[in-house]
Amino acid sequence: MRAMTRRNLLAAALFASASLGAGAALAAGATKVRAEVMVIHATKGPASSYDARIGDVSRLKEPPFDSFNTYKLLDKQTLDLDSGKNGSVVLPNGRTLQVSYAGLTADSRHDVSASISQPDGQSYLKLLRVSASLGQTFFVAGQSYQGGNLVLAITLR
Amino acid sequence: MSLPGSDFLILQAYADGELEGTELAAAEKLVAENADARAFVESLVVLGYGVRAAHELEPLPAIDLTSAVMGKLEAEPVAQVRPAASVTSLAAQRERRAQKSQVVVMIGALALAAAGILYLRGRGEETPKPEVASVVPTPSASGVEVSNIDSSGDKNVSVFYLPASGGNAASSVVVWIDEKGAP
Repeated sequence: MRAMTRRNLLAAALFASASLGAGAALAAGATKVRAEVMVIHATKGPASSYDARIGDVSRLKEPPFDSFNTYKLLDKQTLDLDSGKNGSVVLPNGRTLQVSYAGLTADSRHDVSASISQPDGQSYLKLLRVSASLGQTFFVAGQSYQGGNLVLAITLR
Repeated sequence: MSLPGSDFLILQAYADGELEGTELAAAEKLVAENADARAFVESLVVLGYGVRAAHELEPLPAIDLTSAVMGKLEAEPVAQVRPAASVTSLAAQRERRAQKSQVVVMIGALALAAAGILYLRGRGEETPKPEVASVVPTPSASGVEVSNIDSSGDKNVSVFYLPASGGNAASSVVVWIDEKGAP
């Protein structure tokens, strides 16, 4: 029992030292962000239909999205982005969405860029750079796909 | 502090409430008669409160660190088994000093760790930390802002700002890129 107590003391000391190290790393301002990318197919049908997997669809009922009334989730991916790192999602039309993270802006928001490249390497969208806070969503839309449009909803987590 | 090394171990067990019978009586006598012993036990009690307080503020995650550390210690040759106490040799004195040093280092590490945890917790209560903002989704009143758009020359690009409304606490942005233009 006595030895066990000493074990606990030693373990507590080692764990606390490790905690201090981790805390120091956080305090140094290491930044990373998650980008949740939803690839949504927007079409116009006889009746409104919203894929339940999309979640909150209130933005999809506002202009310019209200020109469509049927939204189906085709893909959903989460990209873990460290500062200066990229993540990519292959779109159903063969193009590739690339999202990159440049860290925090002066007002402590997240500096995120998106680009879309064609299968032949040509650029479709060279650069879209936004600043946003966690929980906020921005959209990239307009690509024609199977009688409708592709809507890319990118949310920072 | 002029206590022999064996007394440190007895006093640790006493502070942990593990002694019974004659051992307990001996420890109580030692504490009552020796100021150094009293100070040592008091420091262990204070340290225990500190560690428990930090643990209550933020429970430690379950990590099987104890088994890993003790397994490594037990795998090493045991150099701490001392000869009979009646033999007073230079080597024995060195051993005792080393044991005392181990106890002091362990206490020092615990005190430093407890102080560090409490300090970090205190800082967290005083001001919101930027690193917390990076892991807790808290929608900002200021919405998404576009700082740069560069598309291929043959495409129409439209930017729609969606205002904050209803369940959307912040404004959003739609960038519509279309060879044919926005709907």
